[in-house]
Amino acid sequence: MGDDLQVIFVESQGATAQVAEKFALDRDWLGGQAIWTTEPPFNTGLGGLPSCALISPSGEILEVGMSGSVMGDVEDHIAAFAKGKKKFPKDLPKDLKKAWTANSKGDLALALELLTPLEEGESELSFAASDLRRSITKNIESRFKAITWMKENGFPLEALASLETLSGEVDGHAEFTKLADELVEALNGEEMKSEMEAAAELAKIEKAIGKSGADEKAAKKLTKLSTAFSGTKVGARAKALADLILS
Amino acid sequence: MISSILKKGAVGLAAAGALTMLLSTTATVGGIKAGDSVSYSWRTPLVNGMGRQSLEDFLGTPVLVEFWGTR
Repeated sequence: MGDDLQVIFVESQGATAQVAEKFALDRDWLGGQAIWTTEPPFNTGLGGLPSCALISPSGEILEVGMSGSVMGDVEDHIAAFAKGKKKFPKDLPKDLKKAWTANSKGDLALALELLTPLEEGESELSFAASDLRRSITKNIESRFKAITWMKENGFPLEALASLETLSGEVDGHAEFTKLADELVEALNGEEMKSEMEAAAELAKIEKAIGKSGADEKAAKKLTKLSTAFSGTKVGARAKALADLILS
Repeated sequence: MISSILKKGAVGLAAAGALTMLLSTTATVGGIKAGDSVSYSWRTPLVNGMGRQSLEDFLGTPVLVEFWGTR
């Protein structure tokens, strides 16, 4: 889950979810960080395709239009976000800078620690510090939520990789470090052993699909994997992927 | 920059221009516009969504919503 930009592709010509997914799979567009759906989150008011809308990190529409027309402006916005992530905002109290910088560098535990004394009392600084704490905490909690979902839905390798990054960022924060350690233990535990083995095998097949395409041979491998790891979430994912290829 | 983020999807979608129809470049009544706040919870699971199911789940990250077609 990249922090720079999340892309959501919305099939908008009335295809079923399966048809849209198969269409993307056949062209090797699946994978990576992009998200796919057939359910539009809003109406652009545009009559043609492809069109797009850029949403700011705070949930406001920044650009909307035909993709070919607005892509330059979209790129400018994204470049500005990337730059803004490194530069302390002028409208924030200067005393917040150390905590803000620690957050922007990914040292979330340090940022939260630095915020504690700044939140005392009622001042512009304390309110800004509390806002930043809320933002950091929400970010951490969302990531833990996503990791837990991955663990429970057949993406254990992805969960472990995300957890490794997050663990480093919250290292030193008692509550979040404890939560991270518990998740690491659970992912490496006996109960997850079959899921992990299946996920390693599935990753190999997905890599092969990336090179050779989603053909019958790949579907056979996926079906074999789903049988070998019957009862696992990863096995169910492999079966669903095989069915999609053969559909 | 954005092409590297969109990876193959964007390239593919650009190539799929022949499959889609450019009907209009003018916004119509009822559509979103710059400055609007948007919120939405998907009823069906997002492919590769990793458990995220609403636009609120993406707060903190810029989101590009790309509308495309299979035909």
